[in-house]
Amino acid sequence: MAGPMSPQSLQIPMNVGSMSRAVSQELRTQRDVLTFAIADEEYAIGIEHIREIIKYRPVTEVPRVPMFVAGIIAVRGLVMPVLDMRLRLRLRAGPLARSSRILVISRPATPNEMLVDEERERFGLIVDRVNDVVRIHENDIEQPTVLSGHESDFIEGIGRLRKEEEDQTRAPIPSRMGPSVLSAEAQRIIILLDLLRVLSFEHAGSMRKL
Amino acid sequence: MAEHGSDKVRDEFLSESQEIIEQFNRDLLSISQSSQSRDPSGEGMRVDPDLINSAFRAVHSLKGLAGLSGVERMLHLSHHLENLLDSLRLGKVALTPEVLDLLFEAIEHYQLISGDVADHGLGAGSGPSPLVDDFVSRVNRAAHLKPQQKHSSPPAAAVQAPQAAKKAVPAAPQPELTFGDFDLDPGLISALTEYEEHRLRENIRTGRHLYRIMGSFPLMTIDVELENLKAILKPIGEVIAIIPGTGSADPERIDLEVILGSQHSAPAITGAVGSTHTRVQQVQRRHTTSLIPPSATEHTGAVQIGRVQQSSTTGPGTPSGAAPGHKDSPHTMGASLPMATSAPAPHASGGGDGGSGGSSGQGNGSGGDDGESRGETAHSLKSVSQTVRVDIRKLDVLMNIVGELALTRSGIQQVHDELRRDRIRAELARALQDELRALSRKLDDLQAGILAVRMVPLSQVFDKLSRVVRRMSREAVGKEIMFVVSGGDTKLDKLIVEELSDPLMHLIRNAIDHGIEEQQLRLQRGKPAAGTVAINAEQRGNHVVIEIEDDGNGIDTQALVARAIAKGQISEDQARDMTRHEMYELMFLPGLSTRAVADENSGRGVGMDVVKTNIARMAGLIEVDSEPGHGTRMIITLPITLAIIQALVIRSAGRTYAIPLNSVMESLMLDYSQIRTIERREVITLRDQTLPLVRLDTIFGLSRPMETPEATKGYVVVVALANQRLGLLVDDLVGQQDIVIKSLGKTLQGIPGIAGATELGGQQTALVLDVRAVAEEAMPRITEAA
Repeated sequence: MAGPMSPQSLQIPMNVGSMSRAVSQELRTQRDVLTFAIADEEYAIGIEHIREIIKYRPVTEVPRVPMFVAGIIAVRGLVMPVLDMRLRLRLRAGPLARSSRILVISRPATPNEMLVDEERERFGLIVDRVNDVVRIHENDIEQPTVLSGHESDFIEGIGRLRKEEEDQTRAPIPSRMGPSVLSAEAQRIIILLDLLRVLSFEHAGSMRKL
Repeated sequence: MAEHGSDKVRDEFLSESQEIIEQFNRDLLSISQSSQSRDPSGEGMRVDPDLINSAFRAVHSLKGLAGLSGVERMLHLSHHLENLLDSLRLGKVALTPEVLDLLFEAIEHYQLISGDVADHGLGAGSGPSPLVDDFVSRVNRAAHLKPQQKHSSPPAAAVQAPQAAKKAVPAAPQPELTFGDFDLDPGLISALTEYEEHRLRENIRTGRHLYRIMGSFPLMTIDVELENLKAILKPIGEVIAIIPGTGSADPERIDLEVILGSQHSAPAITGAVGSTHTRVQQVQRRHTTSLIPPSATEHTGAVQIGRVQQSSTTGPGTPSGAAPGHKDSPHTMGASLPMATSAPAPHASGGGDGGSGGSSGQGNGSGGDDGESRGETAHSLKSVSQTVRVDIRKLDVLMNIVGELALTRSGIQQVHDELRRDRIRAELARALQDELRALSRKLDDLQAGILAVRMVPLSQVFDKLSRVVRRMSREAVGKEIMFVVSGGDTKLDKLIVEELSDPLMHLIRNAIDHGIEEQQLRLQRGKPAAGTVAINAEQRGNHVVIEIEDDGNGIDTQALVARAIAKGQISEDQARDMTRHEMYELMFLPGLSTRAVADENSGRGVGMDVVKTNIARMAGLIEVDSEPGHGTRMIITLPITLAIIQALVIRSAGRTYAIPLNSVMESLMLDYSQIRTIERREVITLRDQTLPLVRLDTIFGLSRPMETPEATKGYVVVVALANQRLGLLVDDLVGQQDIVIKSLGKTLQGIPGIAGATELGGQQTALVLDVRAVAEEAMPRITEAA
């Protein structure tokens, strides 16, 4: 289900294409996302973009790149840029922890792109901790307009995970708390990242000094 | 997911069609070449029928491919081209220069369609296009032109082989040799396709001898053996047809008969074929009475030919006359006669008298198709078995795996080194060392093997260039161009060859537009009227050198300098101290064109800078040499492969970098007290020459860890670019190493001074320096201007 369909690659009339898009939208009422922590906030990206999760390893610094590019690493023979997500999301810088991980992701396709996954560029994202995979309903995703400020640039939406759902998805233990007593505290808030924007280097800001 | 599938189809379509288009182009070039050497008067140019066939096959394949992939425009184009080529090979249309031009133009159309498909997907090639339609209508017009003269000109009396002159050929227009003059079985003729019949007629017309070569081939190896036989026969004559036999005594063998037209005598043919599995028989003229009954056909069994005199045999003795051929009677001959004389009648129905011949025909009714498909299968089988198309990315993956294996090997080496220190395990360590060595050797072989697969001949690009030159020289008014290509078989990494085509195209265009003078001027200068543009490639060690040379104007350095000053790219002061080579370098500045008028091909001033950048991206160099009034030479030096290079690993400010060894001249230790400054630029004196220094840490803005004391010693890595030298000041030399250069990916590509990255083992990644970019950044003259 990766990415929007590109009309050029379809040999069927356009209206049929958009119809099937609508259908696929219908089917996509829930999404599986990987959640992780960056500076005490919980973020998520669709698991379809995740290729690998590796332990933090030293990256090779690269001159003349934006500050948030920590450097490069090679994973299975493939060299990829590694982004320091704290800097990328303009959060406060923090030390690496034992729990720090590098998420290896493949860049989502842009609308006019016709690449198979192997051809897509890989990136590493340094995060503080990887949490888990959760399933989230489209209905429970709020538009980022509720937030203001530049941080919202990278946000696709705010996901709310209700307690019962979380129990369903995470563990089979029945919840003692009924839905009726659902409180604000019981909600988990997940920030869904707009990967394309995160990976876009336009308006990248200051260059890195090594 | 659906779009991925269709991507694959599109990619496959593109790579396959590209390959066929290239083949088509090669065929046309060969046709064009071989037609030039002959007199194009009379009935058009004579060329090797195989070339026309090959072009026909290429278009036919494209048609099939386009149909399969739904690229209707290409299907449409191919369909009509196929008609034209079919008419050509059947001799219905004469191969004139105009027709050849039309065929060359077809390639442009193919490329346009491919381009559309590449950019916008397969669907882009489905709609109608006025451009293609217009072209197709021209193709159709050409396909319906009759050859100006049929066979009215005497059939090349000069070609008449001496031995064939038993029956004197009268000078009268009509009495040419026809089928009727040969002892050919109508059954055989009916088994021929229209094309084969045409070729048979042509061979008879030009007075060649006809031979039947009968052989029995083992089923398992028939493709190979038949190809071998064809390869032997090709230089001595023309294989007109290959006709399958029917039942063979041995189920493991297939009998085939080759009809050959040749000017050589029977003993010569026999000598050339020289195998015990084949027999050669000359097909005699009818009036030569044959005394010997038809030879045995127990091996050939198939199509029986009437009265055939066995002129020689390589088989074991003379076969006993079993299975005598049916007697041909005058009237069956008569039946075939009209066909021959009415040649080249459209769609001569050769199959018609197969039945009326009535004779042993043995399924000859369908024999025509059979024969052709058999011939073609032999062809396609061969190509399939010998080449495999591989996506270069898959090779990259393999290369990566080899790289990782090498890293694993060095890991094992470390384990071994530790093991050896343990005296008790010393024996084990030795055994391990042996295994390691064997592993290393195999790994090297594997790496070399994968590299070899990536190599393709430069002719892939040169062929394209020839086509462009051909077109340009037709368009260039008042200029005549001789394009000389050599070294096309020099091999380079596929990626480099791909990237080369634009820069080379540009250089060649420049040579034709700006280099070669107009004819009159050339004659005034005492030069031959035709200007020569030559491209030559050769391998020198780990590099390939490509030279593009013309005997034209040479470079007007004064005009270059004047323009550079006018554009504010250099100052007049700078211009005064410039050496000739530095002036040539100006050519590579963006926006500098010495010609005021821009035309379609060149002169817009974009280009030479792009050429240089493209070549630099392939780790190559371009140098210019020129002599005013005598010509210009561009010398491009490229590494054979980008995949593996030797590198010098260095450290600077605590970081590790790799420098491609091909740009390193030497490295030396340096006491910093030896550094002098000229105009605040650091230099040292090396062998009586001033060598400008560049500190890598300064260029990249690398911060040094606070606590490190100021170093007093370091190393200078001397790098060379064209004719400039530069010393890179670094902290330490780690050593030489074979590295695999990898791209930093789309996002990070193009960082000035960085060519890529490489893995050094132990999960360590290092950046590979782009020495040229570093040097240019450091050398103010050129860069300031840019």
